[in-house]
Amino acid sequence: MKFDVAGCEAFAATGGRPFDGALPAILMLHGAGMDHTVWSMQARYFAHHGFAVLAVDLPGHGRSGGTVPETIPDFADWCLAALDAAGAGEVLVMGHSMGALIALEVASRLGARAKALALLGSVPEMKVHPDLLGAARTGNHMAFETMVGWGVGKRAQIGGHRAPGAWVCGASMRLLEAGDYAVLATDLAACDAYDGALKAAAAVTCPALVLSGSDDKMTPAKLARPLVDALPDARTVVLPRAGHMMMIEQPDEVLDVLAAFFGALR
Amino acid sequence: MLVDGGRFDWEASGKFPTLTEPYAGYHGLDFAEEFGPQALCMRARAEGLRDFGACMSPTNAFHLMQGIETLPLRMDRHVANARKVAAFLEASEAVEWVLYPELDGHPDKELATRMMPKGAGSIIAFGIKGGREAGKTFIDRLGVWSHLANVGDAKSLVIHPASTTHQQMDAEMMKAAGLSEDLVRLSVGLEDVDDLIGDLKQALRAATTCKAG
Repeated sequence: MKFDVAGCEAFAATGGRPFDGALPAILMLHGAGMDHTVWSMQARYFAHHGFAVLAVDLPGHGRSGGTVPETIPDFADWCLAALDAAGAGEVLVMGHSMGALIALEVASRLGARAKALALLGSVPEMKVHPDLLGAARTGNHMAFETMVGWGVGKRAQIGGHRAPGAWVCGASMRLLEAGDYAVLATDLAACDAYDGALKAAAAVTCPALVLSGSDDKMTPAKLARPLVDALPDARTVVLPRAGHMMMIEQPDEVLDVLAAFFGALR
Repeated sequence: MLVDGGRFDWEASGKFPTLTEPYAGYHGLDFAEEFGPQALCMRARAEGLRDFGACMSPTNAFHLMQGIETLPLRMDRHVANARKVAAFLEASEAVEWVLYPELDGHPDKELATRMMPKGAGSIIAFGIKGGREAGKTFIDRLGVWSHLANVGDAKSLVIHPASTTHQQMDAEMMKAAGLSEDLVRLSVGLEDVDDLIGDLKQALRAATTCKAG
């Protein structure tokens, strides 16, 4: 759906059902250079199982207008405005990669309104290699290649997706290519500069899930540990043979974990 | 087989409402909005494969993949054989004319050279001396070549339209359709080219009483 957030047109996928503020809302936040389509496989399930889904395109990404916020807290400001603009009540917040950092900030600021927090592919310090950052800033295709090469797990690199015909590497590449180098560069710089993850985590009051992929080379599971320790009520799941792009590499497995976590809280 | 490059902007084109608007056949799903670059791929999968069941068996998939993976090797042989067969036919006294895009005098030779620099495929047409009757006899006398209306097989195929697919037409009607009674079409396969030429030679000889070459 299209809606207005702080004077700018924004887009959020709602999983095939109209957004209903009376239902618990799930805010889905995509990672750097991506958009709502990374949640295709999960958004529809939750929208048809008692939740109001808001898989947003962050400002300047996908179908949302506006300029890209330059810091993670700025992204979080926009998300809070978006939740209010959509008319959301209780919120379950989930994010992937950069979106996970934003989700942490959002959940910490929502207080009791946040009912759950799910972090996918997240570590407290998301330092970005200068070569990747440089490639994004200079519009070098290497930026996309690096992200796909490192972001997609070994198993999915080989191929053989459960959905015949689906190709995680190709789809990820086209998704990044459909975006903009400058947007990606701003996203990556925001990740690189953000140092508030542990502080935000300590302020989260709702149950949290930290979901990692065993083969994730961008945000390795072991580096998520300080985040888990900082969250007052956290559980961890490590998906075997999954890389950083876990929700498109293993959509069913990711959905199973999320459905069990969110479902148990209802 | 469908390969979706994921680069086409369905929405900008404005020509594909079943990909860019809520699609009644799929609970109002807007594929371009839902899947972005994967819009076509996902619709083909969801509707074509899952709903309609147009999904091949693993064995068929294996054969198709093996076919695609070995295609360059086969095409080299197709082209090499076709060139030799075309050269043989050109030199044969039993043949009125030969049509193969690599030959001098073919109306599209320049185009073929530009678009198919590695070889103009393996389909050859030629006119047999003696017209409709000679064509019929020629086909009957062939041993190695299979009498089939297909093209592109691994084995060599031949057809004489005037005595088979277009036998109901007289010479005038055939001419109007761009055919002639003496036309024989070859689809050159992967066999040993000496066997192919040897077979053509003996059948031409029998059908035309000319020295075949």
